[in-house]
Amino acid sequence: MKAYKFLRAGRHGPFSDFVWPENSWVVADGALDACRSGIHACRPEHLGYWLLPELWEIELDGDLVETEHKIVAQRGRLTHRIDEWDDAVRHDLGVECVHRTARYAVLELRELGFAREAELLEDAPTAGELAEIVVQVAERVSGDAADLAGYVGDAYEYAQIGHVSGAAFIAAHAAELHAPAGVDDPFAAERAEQGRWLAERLELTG
Amino acid sequence: MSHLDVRCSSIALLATEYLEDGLSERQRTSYETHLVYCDACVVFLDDIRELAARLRALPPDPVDAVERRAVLEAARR
Repeated sequence: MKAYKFLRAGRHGPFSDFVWPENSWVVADGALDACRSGIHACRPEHLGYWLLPELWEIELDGDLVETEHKIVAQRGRLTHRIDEWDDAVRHDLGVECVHRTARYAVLELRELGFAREAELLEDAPTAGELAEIVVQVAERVSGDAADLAGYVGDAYEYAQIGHVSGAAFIAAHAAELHAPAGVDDPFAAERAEQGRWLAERLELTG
Repeated sequence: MSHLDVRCSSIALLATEYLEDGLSERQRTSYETHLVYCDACVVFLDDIRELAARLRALPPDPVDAVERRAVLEAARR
């Protein structure tokens, strides 16, 4: 099956430090065990958890175990690097995460009756302007609403320095804090949305 | 709260168990997803890994157990 794998620069496995060869099968020793033994990869909806510098398409074969956040296989082969996962897309995903964080802040502000402050955030056309407005908003409100406004600024800072995994985590943490009604696991739901955004932008399938 | 929404202080406590393969799959996933976005915890884990390697490389303790106990008891008096 086709799946995706994030690696550190130079095809380094992020946790094993294994240097992956291109277009050669790598076979795991022993029984599959998520996080320990096996070739680890993910589906598009898992991508948000594993944002690292290199994104590869990987072919998996043999026994497979699928968990909530990853797929583990007996054999895997990097088929090609997804070059479209570049600085521009990382920047855009970071900005998307700023806006996504702001949406949770807006929902929280409206729930708490801060309609004017919610409007200020909604009317901000750019991530940069959002980051300026949330400073004022955070001073006018308190509790979770103030924290969520602060998170918008934090996400912006991460996005600005190209730390997209940081911005994405903040958006997921904001989802968890706001806890939209009817969503069982807001953190996971936000991560899945990030994965879908990325898959659509990079035209990934599978 | 999601088990993947964790603070550095919780992650730091698990560093040794992570390196010694003592975490459950769920804990390990929490740990590794945290490392993806937290550079400070990556550095901390590298430090612990290096410290463990240096401790393993130390020569055997030249003081035997009986002598050690005698010294410790003397020190307590």
